[in-house]
Amino acid sequence: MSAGHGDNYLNHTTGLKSWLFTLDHKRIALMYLFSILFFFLLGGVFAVLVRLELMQPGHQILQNADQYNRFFTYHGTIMVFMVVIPMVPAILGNFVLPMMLGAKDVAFPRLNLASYYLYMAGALLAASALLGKGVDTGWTFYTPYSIRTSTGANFVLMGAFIMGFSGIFTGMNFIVTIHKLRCKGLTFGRLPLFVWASYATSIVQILATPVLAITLFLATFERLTGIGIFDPNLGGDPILFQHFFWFYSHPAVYIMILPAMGIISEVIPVFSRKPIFGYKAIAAATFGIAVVAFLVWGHHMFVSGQSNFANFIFSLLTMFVAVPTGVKVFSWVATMYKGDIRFDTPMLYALAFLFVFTIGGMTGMHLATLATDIHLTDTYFVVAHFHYVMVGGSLFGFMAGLHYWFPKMFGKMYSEGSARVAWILIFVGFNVTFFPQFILGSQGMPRRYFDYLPEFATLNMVSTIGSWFISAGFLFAAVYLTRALISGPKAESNPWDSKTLEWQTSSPPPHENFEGDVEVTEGPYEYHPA
Amino acid sequence: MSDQNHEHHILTPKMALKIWAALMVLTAVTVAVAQLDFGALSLVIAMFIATVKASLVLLFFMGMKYEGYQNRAIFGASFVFGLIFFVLTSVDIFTRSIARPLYVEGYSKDKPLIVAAETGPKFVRPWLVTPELLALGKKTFDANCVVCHGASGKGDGPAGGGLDPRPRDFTIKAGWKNGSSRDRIFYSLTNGLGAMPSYAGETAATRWGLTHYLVKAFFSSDPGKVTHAQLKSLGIDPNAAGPAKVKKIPVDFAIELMSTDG
Amino acid sequence: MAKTVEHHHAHHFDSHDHEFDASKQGMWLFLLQEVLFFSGLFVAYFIFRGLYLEAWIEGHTYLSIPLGALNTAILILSSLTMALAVSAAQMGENRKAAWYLIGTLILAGGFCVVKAIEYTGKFSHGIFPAGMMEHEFSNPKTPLFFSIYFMMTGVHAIHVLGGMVAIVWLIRRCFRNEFGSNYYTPVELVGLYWHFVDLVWIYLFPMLYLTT
Repeated sequence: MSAGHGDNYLNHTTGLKSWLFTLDHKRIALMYLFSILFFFLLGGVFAVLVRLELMQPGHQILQNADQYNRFFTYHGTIMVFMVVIPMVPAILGNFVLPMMLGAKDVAFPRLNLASYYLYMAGALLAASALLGKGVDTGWTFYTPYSIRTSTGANFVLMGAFIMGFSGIFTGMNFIVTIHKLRCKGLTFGRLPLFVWASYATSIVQILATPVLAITLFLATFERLTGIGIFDPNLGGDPILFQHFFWFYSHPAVYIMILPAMGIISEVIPVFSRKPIFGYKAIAAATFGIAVVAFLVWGHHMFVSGQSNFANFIFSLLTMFVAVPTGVKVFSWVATMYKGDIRFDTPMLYALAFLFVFTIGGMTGMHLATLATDIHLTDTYFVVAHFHYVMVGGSLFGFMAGLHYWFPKMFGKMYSEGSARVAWILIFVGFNVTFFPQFILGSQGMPRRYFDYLPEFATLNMVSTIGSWFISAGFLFAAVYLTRALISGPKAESNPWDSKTLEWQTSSPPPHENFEGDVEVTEGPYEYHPA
Repeated sequence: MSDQNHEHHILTPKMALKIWAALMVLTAVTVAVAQLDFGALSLVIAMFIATVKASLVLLFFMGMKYEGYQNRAIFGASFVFGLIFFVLTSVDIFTRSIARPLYVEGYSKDKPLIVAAETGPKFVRPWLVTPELLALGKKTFDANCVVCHGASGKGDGPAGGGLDPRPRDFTIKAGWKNGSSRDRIFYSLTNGLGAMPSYAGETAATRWGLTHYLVKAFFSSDPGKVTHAQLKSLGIDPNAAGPAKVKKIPVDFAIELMSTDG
Repeated sequence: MAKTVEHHHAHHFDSHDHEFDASKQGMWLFLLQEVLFFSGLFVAYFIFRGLYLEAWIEGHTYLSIPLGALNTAILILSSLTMALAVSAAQMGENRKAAWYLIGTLILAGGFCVVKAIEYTGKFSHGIFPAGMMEHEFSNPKTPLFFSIYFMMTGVHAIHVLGGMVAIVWLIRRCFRNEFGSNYYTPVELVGLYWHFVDLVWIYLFPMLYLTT
């Protein structure tokens, strides 16, 4: 069935049902985009409220410490489970991955749609806790408090359980797609690095998420009937809960960062007009990170009561993850060296990523080192560290990808000037918000506290002001992107002059991605400086 | 990349029956072996037989024998990572009772810091029995010790059930690891013994009070007064008059006491 | 024998075989995550067994080895009938496949009946998960054994029930003559899942019933 003139996946069929029951990976990606952006807004609102409370010492806008506990729990739970974990794979992975492989769809389109509905069902179930008593345990649900709290923890536990299967099915889908649906000539050695990143991420997802599932399942039954394995009153061990929880949640942070790193690996060569430096090293490092991810979870538990021997082992193993990460950062920088660099928005976000992620990653070393972690753990130093890597890393990577693939997805181009304004607001705002938190943490300000000592007041005020800049930046991004969708100029099929397969078809792509058969004869980064 | 049309292996009924028969035999074997006592090896043997059965199901019923490397790697990886989960969790749980060496200056297990601990204004020579010390000892025993040693002192308290060896039965004379004279009881309380942590954080008066209470409440005969030689061996100067000098317990030591208890 | 209904493979695959290979790999990946799902329960079992062996020994004396062995035999037989169903479907013998599947379903039902007998027996003696426990034990940690027993066998039983639903769906499709040498994927996939459920029980039986 050949596409008529102007026939693309957006207008191929019309009507609400054709979207709600679609099997097209590109439409599913868009549905994820709008859902995830909604939850991003919701999680962001709670962040702004938390920062407003912390603007000055003492009571501000919240009624009491309990409400504060609920608000940071909502912020964390929404951002981790409903936004950052699915963000890159579900939106950009779903849209771009099959096209990068020259395939017509993912291996299991119906499973893909099921993934979306599981995500929505789980997210709505978890969010329904907001309407009731809420949750105040922190997104980590540590026992025994999470067993005893009378809030709506069951909704969140079960909501996250259901969402987990969304991720598992997506991971299964991507692995089989990469194994079985590569087009002619596309050997593993010619795969774009975004594919390699999605591959490693998918493996981590299917290995780690089921352990979260059983943890949430057991925690729910602890609350309902009392099981005892996590409850000291019945002879169990609350630290065992932490082992179960972090066995998933540490690899989860690599689920968040690896796809974003994959985007950086795509953007930098295109906007430096140079082949990627160290293609094999980056691919190998990606898998190295994915494996080491499973060996280090105890570094979240250094002061929990874990044995000294285990503390030593986990601290040592954690150091290793810096090696493959460093390999990637150096390879990206080397790619830019003597390149013909173009500062379009995707590249601006990639550069911001390099700066911010490096800071975040290096501060991970402070936390990996047992002796310093004793002082820094549960302070704002940790909060700053993970926001630098998750926001500065994953979210900036996503923004780079969104701006890179926007013309492909929608056939429209956004205003570069507006995008740069938003970028400045976001980049500056981000650093103003979170850099002071490193200082606050090392000076001893604890995290998850409703109030703080007067000596921390100035930097908290600075941090809150920064949060307004980030909010303004993202809101403005929503504005100019929406404007581009409605009335932006038409985009060409390959505005960035990129060599990967998705750019060799029209923007927006046709329903079956490509007209005719696809064949690959060279690697994806054969750029040569003029 | 599509695969060529290839032959799909079909499991014949004959082969299926053979596998089934093997599985039934192995089930009977595992039940029979479980009736015998191989001690710690019993679990290993049972798991080994289960693995043989599982392998038969995996290789023949699930067709793994005829699968390519991708599906084999997939299934194999699941066990590798499941094992990582178990091993590194165990690295924590089963090494908790290994105590760190204590780095408190001047402290060693043979010379407890009893002299440093405050005795309190009322108890000048707490190694001598007084009614106040007995009352203090009983109060402390009820609050801290009953949970393991039981109200009857027989070592049958609720928390002691899972301990191995079980908590000391005070009513029995034999088998006291450190001895059952008053100075030795004080020594055990100060240094800890087995699963019992050190109570050096309590004042010396409290520990003596406990000692006196134990003797009065549970012993059938009194082991006698503490001699000067025994006091000296504990590092106590029997001629010290008035309350002993108050010396603060080092913070590291205090943290140690709080964290080495399993 | 009625003619097998023709199957059209999905548009993004090149051939029936291509689709079959992809689908089968999808199921192996699903089983990988099932291994990790159960691993949490296995970790809890071995950790607490290592800490409280006496409690484990006391706990297992309350379990009936004959009933456990019966359930083991039932599941192993159901794996045989399932394997024979797959072979029949591969050769286009839809009727035969349907009857083997019905046999598997009945055996699975039998497993659930035995489980129900065991559970109600426990409940009538006041044996519940630790938080609801009414029975007194000599070892204070024995309630933990029963919590883990109920969780492991309960989660396993949920998987058995899920498998039964899938088998009913397959029986229906067999009676519609949908399977043949070109296309028997659903039977293969449900078969893999079912053998996995058997595999888990092969470990649960000695761990829970035969600990000494």
